[in-house]
Amino acid sequence: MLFNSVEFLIFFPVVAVLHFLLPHYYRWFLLLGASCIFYMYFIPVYILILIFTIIIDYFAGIWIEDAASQKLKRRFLIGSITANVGVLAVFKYYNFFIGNLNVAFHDLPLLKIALPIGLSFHTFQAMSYTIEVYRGRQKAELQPGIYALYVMFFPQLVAGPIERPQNILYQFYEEKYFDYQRVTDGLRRMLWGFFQKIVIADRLAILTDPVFNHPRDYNAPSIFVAVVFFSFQIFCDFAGYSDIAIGSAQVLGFRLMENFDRPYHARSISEFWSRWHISLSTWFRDYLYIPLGGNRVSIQRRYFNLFIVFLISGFWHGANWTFLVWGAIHGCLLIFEIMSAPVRRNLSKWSGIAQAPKLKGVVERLVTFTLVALAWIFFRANTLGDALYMLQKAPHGLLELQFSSVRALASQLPQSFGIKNLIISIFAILTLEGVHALQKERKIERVWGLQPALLRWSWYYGLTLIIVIFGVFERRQFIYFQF
Amino acid sequence: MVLKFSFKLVLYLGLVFGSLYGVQRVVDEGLRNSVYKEFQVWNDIYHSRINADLIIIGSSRASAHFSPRILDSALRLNSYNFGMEGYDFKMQYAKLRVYLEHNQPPAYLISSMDIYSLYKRDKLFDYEQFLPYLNDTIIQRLCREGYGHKLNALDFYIPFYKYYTEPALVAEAYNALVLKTPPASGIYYKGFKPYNERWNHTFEKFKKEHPEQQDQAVSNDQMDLFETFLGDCRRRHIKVAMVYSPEFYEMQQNYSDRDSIMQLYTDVSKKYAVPFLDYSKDAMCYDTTYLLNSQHLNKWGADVFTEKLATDLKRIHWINAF
Repeated sequence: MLFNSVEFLIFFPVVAVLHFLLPHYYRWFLLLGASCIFYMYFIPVYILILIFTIIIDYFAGIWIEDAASQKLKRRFLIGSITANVGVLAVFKYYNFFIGNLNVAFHDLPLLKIALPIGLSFHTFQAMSYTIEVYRGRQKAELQPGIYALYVMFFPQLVAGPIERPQNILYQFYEEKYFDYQRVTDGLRRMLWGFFQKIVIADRLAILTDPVFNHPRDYNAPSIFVAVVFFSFQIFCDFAGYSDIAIGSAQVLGFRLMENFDRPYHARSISEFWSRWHISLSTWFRDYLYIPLGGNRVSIQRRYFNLFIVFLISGFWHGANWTFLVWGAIHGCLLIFEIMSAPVRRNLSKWSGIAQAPKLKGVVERLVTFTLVALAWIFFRANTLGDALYMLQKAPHGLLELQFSSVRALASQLPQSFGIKNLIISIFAILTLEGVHALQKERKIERVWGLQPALLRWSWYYGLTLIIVIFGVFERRQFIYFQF
Repeated sequence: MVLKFSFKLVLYLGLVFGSLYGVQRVVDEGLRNSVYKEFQVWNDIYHSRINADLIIIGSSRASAHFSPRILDSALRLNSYNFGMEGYDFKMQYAKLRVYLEHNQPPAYLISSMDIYSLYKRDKLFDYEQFLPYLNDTIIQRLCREGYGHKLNALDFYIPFYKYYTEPALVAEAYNALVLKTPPASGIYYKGFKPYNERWNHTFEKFKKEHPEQQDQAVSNDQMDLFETFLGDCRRRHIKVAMVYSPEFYEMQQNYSDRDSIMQLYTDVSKKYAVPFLDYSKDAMCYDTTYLLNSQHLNKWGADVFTEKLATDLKRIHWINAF
């Protein structure tokens, strides 16, 4: 079930009302049933994959905890991780590997199966459970229904945030009460999420999809604008989903971790990764980077670790060379950032920009955004050839673009996009960045509640009407659903 | 707290739905003033602007073949073309019934016939044309029960729901109501939609993909409805003529039941004493200069055909002198 659907707008209030009406003891059952319905709305039979991994990891957790020796604990952990990675390997990566082997062997069979929705997310969430039990930081969950709910909790089932058991498992035992402030905060967050997804992300996709799918059919200015727009599209699509997920969980009384923190305000690539898809980047930090040695190794080993982590992170996103290259680019950028830190410090002193911190901040943000946007080309392009073509054309597009007026700008873009979409897109992005500016240092959360009711209600009412009237309702799936 | 929340939620939803209802009314009103494509015809009907002497009903073959300009000039009357793309006789008759509720009945009516006239269709084609008029009981019944797949209860009862996936319609409503700018294209003269192209060779592709003959069953319901229509016209003193306009001769060989369907039309025309003018063997059927594809005449073919039809209608004294 998509969040941006009439079905969810009926499903969620019904579940929320029943959740608060039912006695606490039965609520987990309701949430589990609702999560099953939510997941089975896509391809019902794929719930068997979830059930398989849930059973494996439920028993693995108990056996790890009860195991007499460390060796036996490790065996159960390896078994659990193998099962989870094995499911990923079969459904997500098999065709990629076989497709590449077929260049040499030609007739190895490919699987004709759809990728189960959210596979990478709930698999990682399940793996974090068994790893934490192994590390002794989480007690094994004995109630199978509660463990199943941990994996399947519908707000974050298909696209995160990827939760840690310490953060969420205990919450399923807490009795939840209706709290006016918490519920309205959650609904407000969902509303903002719908705005980002339906008004911004899906509207920008009207331009980016055709340009990225057939870049050679479009001029350089269109390619440049598509690259910039895609940066906002993927942010709004994913952050919008996360906001709806976090908001809906908040309404029900659950606290999920934050997943985004204004990533395009980052002043460096390392800062970008502390603000983008935080649940995934911390997962890789805790379960891959640190076990590889993290920062406590030689500098060359540290570079190697970083590169491997980002390579795997890229591969997690999709079974395509473009994702691997995207991950590798970010790995290289991070390594370069570390290597060049002394040189860049000296450069900023020598140029005098260090004396102007605000200007320095603007330059750093612009450079970081540019690097990230160029890397997104590989993330979104269908082939490496397309990505390289767009990478070559995008700078030319910037030089050729006419900014004299909105009409002049629109005239260089595909006619199918049009001036109306351009105006709405620009307005929506400015609104987004305006809210981000207010969110700086959490100012918005502090002052919003103090505003007059008329202002607050006008904002909610206006935003709702903008979503309904200016939203794009073509049932576009969230980008991260495919991972 | 729950009561406070519920009260505020109801108030908020009331404001939102109330506003959406207002927006929907504005969009409906805009489209009811639009001259874009099918809206032009429906708006002429609902605003009682037609009151024609001669109405043509039928499928896309009607809308493309019968030129009101030529009929008006040759027959010296006011004609209007209600041809509807993609619909069977049930919807064509419904459009006529809506017309009769808002306009004077015509003196004459041409029912454009083709092999698929009485074939039952079950899809709501080009449903956007009905959205501003869903409060009309005839349209409502057809959209909800007559043709499945597209519109459901939400479209009828949730404000603005019917338009939320139709930004182009909202834009057109804004153009028509606020900017008052006519659309750049899609304006038809009295419902006539000629094809301004030459033979497009799609028939050759069709033959390769479907070498076997096509079956087309006449629906009993559609047949009953057609006879009801003829009886209704008789009661209202509307003179009816059935006309089978030219189609590509090779396509005719593709229909397995063509002869029996043509016989059916002949029989019903005799039963109700209405002339049946059959141009399916006319020379135009053998000359692709006049055709767009196997089913439709192009603009030049439509002009020649309409001239012929007007001459023949006068010859058989179907039209009294004006």
